[in-house]
Amino acid sequence: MKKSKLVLWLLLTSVTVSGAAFVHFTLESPTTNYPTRNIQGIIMWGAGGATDTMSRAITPYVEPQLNKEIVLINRSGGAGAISTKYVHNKKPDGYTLLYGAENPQLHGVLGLSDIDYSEFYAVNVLARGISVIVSHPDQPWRSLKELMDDVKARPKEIKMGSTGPGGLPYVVGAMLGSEGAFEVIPVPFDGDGPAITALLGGHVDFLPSGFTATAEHIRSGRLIALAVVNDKEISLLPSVPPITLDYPSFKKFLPWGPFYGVFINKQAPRNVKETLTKAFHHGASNPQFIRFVNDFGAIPMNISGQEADEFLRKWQSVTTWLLHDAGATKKSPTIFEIPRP
Amino acid sequence: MSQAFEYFSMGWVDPYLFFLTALGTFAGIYVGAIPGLSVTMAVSILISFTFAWDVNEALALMAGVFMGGVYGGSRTAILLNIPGAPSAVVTALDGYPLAKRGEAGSAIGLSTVMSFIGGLIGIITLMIAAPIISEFTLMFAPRDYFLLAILGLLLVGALSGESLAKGIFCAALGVTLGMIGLDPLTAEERFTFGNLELTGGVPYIAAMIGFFGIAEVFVQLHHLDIKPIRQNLEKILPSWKLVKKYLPLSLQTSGIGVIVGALPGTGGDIASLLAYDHAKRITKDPSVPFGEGAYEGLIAAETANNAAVGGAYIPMLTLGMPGDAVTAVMIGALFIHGIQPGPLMLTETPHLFWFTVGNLTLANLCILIFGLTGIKLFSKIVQCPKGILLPIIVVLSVVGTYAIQNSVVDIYWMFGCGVLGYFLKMYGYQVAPIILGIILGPMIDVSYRRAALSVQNDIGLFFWEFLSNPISLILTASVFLILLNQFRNRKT
Amino acid sequence: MTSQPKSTKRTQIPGELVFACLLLSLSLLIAFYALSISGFSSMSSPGSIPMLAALFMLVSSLITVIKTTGTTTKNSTFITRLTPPILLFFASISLTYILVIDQLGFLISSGLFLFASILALYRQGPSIAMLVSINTLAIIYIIFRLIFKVILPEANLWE
Repeated sequence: MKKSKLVLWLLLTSVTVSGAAFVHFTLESPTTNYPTRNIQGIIMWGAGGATDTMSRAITPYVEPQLNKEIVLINRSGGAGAISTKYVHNKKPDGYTLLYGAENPQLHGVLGLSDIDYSEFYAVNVLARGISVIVSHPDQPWRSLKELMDDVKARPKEIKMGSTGPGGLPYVVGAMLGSEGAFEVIPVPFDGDGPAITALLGGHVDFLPSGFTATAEHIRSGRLIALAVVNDKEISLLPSVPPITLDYPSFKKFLPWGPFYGVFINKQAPRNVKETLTKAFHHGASNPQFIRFVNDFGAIPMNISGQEADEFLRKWQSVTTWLLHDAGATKKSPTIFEIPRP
Repeated sequence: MSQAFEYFSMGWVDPYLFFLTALGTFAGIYVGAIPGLSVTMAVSILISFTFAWDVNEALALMAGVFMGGVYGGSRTAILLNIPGAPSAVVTALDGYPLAKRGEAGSAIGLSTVMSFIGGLIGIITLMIAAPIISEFTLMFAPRDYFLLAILGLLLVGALSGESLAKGIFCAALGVTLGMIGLDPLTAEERFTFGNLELTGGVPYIAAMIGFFGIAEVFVQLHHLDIKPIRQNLEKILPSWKLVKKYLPLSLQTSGIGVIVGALPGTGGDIASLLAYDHAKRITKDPSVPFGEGAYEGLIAAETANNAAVGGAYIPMLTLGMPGDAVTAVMIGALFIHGIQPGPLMLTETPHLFWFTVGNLTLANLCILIFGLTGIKLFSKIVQCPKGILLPIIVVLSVVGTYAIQNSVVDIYWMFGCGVLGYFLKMYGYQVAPIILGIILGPMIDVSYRRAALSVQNDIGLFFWEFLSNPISLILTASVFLILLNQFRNRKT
Repeated sequence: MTSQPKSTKRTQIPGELVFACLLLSLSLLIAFYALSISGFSSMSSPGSIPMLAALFMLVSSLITVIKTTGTTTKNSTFITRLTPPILLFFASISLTYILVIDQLGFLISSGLFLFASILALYRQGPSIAMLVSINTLAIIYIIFRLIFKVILPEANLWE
């Protein structure tokens, strides 16, 4: 009696759920055009990071263009190398997108992986971030030059917040180092956020950082910006001088900054590339998205294909050689046939 | 003040916001309970989902999911020995033994009430002391994080069971597992053997599901024919006397939860570990020994991890800095909704603070309501025949592990940890210290090296700094006192 | 300090000494790899904590080996005590399941696994096993795939 009741109950549930599943499947029946089913978007950094936020901000503007959902998944690890390889190894049918930052362009010289963006088609490079050099108001420096002079006067005493090799502070540090003696104590953190927290608490003395994460702290006066790593002033930080004011030789590195983009395997069919490029271009042109990018302290780019490739190549050439000259690479850029800028 | 109250009650008087918070809490409980579905993941999905919504609506839903999710993790920890979330690892230590003794119902009831109390303390602290605490947490230097992690690791003494040597072995094994992958500071590969998949490290949720869930499944196969223990479902709600008796303990462990939750980079998992350690030390005679179903252990874990929610909001609302992974995602959500998270948020978008406090209070109340309903049904899971339950647990573990980041390799890790965990358990090793090591290992590694780098690898200066600063001094003294105490206890 | 009078008199579980020795060799192996990360180059080198952890593993597993030698084995064999047939069966079927999940996809592999293992463990006939399997799969599919949009392994055998 009891057993038969159980069987009946189970049967009833089966009928209901299989009905629901059936409806779901028929709704997803394939047709001929791309995309016919939901697309998977792999984000190469963890939840809550800048790449994650940028990816989740653009996607809702793109989905209506494709009439499908883009399911986003964070797959961090190996500084983005794992995601990059994962997407690269997937069937090049345009159903797996890579939401990435600048990192793969450095994986070769850092000895992490041989796959960089030259293996991908750039659907859209959405934006590039601006870097600023910030310090704590308790410190005596009010300009980058004062800081640099102090570094020269007191070698190996001043602590610089960093985020590990290839990270933004590291590269900006290498740029500063190209100006001559630059002996600081780099203290690496897991990202911009923890580094800023340490700067606020006085555990490091200065920090090259993405503008996004520091903007509000600068505005509130809890941190002061010494220079913007750009060749002209930016509208959000009107009184802060561009780095080229004191160091004109920096022009050769600029524009430089982290960037965020969407990529697919180069082997994807043409119509897939075109559909995606159009959809993302449309999404990234949305005024609301542009406002978000500006609020985020970044510069909208919205470039794809050839134009994006050129940008990516220049970025790679500048950065890898900078790191190589600073002695921070495991393999020379020449191995990857990266030309010197 | 009246302004503050108006903002506070926004989410209470608007029926739609009220509904969203309640819905979020309800969904959160299940997200938390299902292994592999994390609160971080759910809040990330909500970003796209609530994209076109009003920011208040989005925040109400997210606050509910956060609160509910942290609580929900205790469900599967108690019933199946699979912590639904990292912050519920400690809950499993005493919760699962309780369920095995037929007290699943009262364990869930107690954890619900204690989660409510913990959550409330977290919210009250957020409400009255947010600015002070956020300034306080900024004072924590890398060496203090190191000391904090060491404090947590000393818990190994309490988790080792019959043999301290075996416990230490397991903790060190956990630390080693946590080291696999790219070193976050130098990008040096550690224990990767040139394999790219290994550069991502062992996701500790996968290890956790393996060591706890799968290992226990294998152990249970020995008792396949033993009838499941009938669950006592008469008394679910803890008596007022019981709550009152444990009130001092729950207040202390909640306090630990708030502070650890507010520290950037540490969340509910470390909070509950430290709280458990504290409870174990101050409780002279627990209801039953710790690890065998002590109410004190369950209370410490559940109050601390829910108090950590309020704590995590402190740096987010006062400084715009994340207190943990979930608030990091919420900060992203604020950006997308056109709000600039930062120190000026308190003055420029004043409603945000009190509105959030109001939402969290509501969500916390919802936990009490949703948490105390349906317990009977849930407890029945444990009474399900093992021949059916065990295969389902395996499938759930596999899917849950895969769901973390769509990786089949993670499933292999999970299973491997399960097999190893089984043999360790059979030979009298405890698996809890392994998880302790996996959680604290990376924190010890980076904070120790960061502290060493800050003093240019000068050993003398390194140790001098431990004494030169009040916070470090207190933490150092605590480490020594506990060590001393443990030696003495072992001798007598 | 660590030796408790209770544990020295304890009889050992079959294979305990072998297992303790295995863990000791694992520790040696880990110590070797930890040493190769960066050696003793500096206090803050990436290898410092792994080396320390390996040292703890070595010492503690050595203590365990020493304490285990000298204890006598109980009257049971490794097979009956640790790997009874049902456990071996379940472990191997689970292993097969996770190895084929990528090829067969989530639904087919989990369905087969659930059906076979419930049939063997619950022993109440195929119809119940079938029903429970289908229900479990449906519920998991709905929660993970439909509600939370988690991509589950899809069959790629025929692609």
